[in-house]
Amino acid sequence: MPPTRSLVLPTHPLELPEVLLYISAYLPLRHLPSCALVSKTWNQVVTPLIWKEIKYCHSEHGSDVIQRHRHLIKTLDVDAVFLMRCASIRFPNLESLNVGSGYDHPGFEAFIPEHPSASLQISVWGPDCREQPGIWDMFLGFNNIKSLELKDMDFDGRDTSSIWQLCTRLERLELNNPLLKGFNRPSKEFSRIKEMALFDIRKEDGLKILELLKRCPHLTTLICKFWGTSEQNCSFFRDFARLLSEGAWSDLKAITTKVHLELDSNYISAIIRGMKQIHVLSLWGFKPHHFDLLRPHLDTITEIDLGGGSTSEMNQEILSYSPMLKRFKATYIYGTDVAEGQPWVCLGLEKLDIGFEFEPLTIHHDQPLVFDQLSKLTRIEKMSFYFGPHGFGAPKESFDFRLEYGLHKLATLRRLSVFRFYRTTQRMGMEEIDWMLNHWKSLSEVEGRFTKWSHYSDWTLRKRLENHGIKCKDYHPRDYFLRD
Amino acid sequence: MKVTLESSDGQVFTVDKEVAELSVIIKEMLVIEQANQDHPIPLLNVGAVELAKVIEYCEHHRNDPTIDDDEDYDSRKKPIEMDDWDKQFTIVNKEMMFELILAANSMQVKPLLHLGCRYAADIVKRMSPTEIRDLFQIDDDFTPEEQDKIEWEKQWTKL
Repeated sequence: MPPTRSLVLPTHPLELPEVLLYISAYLPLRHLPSCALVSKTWNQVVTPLIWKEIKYCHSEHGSDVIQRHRHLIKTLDVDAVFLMRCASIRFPNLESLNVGSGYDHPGFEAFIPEHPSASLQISVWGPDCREQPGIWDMFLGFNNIKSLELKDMDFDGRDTSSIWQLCTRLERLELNNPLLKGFNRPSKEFSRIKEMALFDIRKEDGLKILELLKRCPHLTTLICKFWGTSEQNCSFFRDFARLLSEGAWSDLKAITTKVHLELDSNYISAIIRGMKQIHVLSLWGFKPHHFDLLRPHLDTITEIDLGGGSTSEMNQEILSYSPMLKRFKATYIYGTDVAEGQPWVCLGLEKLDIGFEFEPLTIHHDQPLVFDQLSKLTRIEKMSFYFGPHGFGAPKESFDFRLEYGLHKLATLRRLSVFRFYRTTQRMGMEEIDWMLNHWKSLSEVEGRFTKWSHYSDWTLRKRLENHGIKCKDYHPRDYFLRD
Repeated sequence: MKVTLESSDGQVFTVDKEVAELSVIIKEMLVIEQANQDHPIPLLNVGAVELAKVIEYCEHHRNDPTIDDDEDYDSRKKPIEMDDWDKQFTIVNKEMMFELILAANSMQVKPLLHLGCRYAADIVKRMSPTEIRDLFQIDDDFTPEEQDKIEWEKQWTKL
């Protein structure tokens, strides 16, 4: 049976819309308008791509142009000038609306998606918005709004009832650097909110944030980043942990905290006990004795970062008993623990950030076995090795990425795109570099020092990678702490 | 396991099943016709020269991870990686490359289709609309008014 789809074929591939769509995906956006002029077929393919995302329009005329393409626009960045011109246009397929500061027009009821299943994400930034009560009533007209991001929003002394009314419809709320001085406790319950992201919360606002969280009983994901290291943050986590262990937020599966203090050991116990199922756990202050509480959750965990609080044996246990694991960050793991431990089961791991440490006497035995485990992680995209060393006792040795020691086993890591090795002592040569170029087809970034022999040889190896379009960085301790 | 494929001009090729399965169309056909594999699979739109080249490509990429090719695929965010072998492979004349794009499209060999389209995009992006039309013998089916309108609308997109 021949493939029926291709019985009728135009003579040239560049007249097949499906092929043109692939080609246009490889063209920088700025080349698309000229492609629109080639023929009607080309025009039909590239026009939706051209109009998908529209930023501020300062052109003097032409709201009729926007009007004509309104159904193609999915992302819109607007400011006052734009609004004055386009206030009456409806955008039926809008997915994302960004409202900048300087908004001063009362009426743009029109940005309402008509498609019932469409969800809308709105970002509002700049304190200027507080001067515009009309804006919230306008957003209330959006039936499909699912996600709201508020940047630098000032809640001080204003009527927040419209905002809270809007929040009852949201699935995701993000507050970025909110000013909560005159914040009033919301009277409504936000029963649809599943994800709350709180960035750059001032240290004195912890308890106000808690009031907000109390209104979200079905929360599944909490991401929070506080400023400072004060007592007030502690009181937020104390009360949060207490409420959680008393049964609040029974759907909570993911917690990511970025706080520059170690949480009290008791709060951590209460948080882990309070979560019925754990998918994501990222916090500081974890201690080895918490691991017994975490152990029953290993089979559901997808992402874990315990801020360096887990031991090598625990890290090996996580890798051997967490089949769902996608992202894992920990400080160190001993080669011996991997070599003698259970095989890893986290075959879907995408990001690994850990320091391998080997005993000088057993490194030649253990290292090939560690390479064996790593070679099973065929879905890995980012791999970082930070050599502390953190262990006690005799001095440890770092991973040695040479072909003769087993690097060749990692030929299976075909998705690897970022490879970093910090503070390790490498003795790589051109052989290793050429091997990487041949086998790691997705490699785009390497960070670390390739060889300790000389700066010149290190430079030569770096140049070779750079000539193949791979970004190379020498390791800098500062970068380790700043990166994501 | 081996699979035989027959080009439009009657030439028969025998390849490993896993190599042939890089073509989504062949993979689907093998599922449907599991019992009947004595006859070669006919590929009515693909000539012997192109088919040989497609098979050469699939042989080299037999162990590659499959690309997630959903509708919203946008290579501006995530370009397909090209290795030295691929670069060598694309050193062919334009006509051959377009034949390969057609073959890859009709057989649905996604990575080869991406490779070819990336090649075509590199050619197109240095050209004016008129040059593109001349090179590919595409008819200009716009009236001057339509053309002016598109030119004028362009300024709104800020591209």
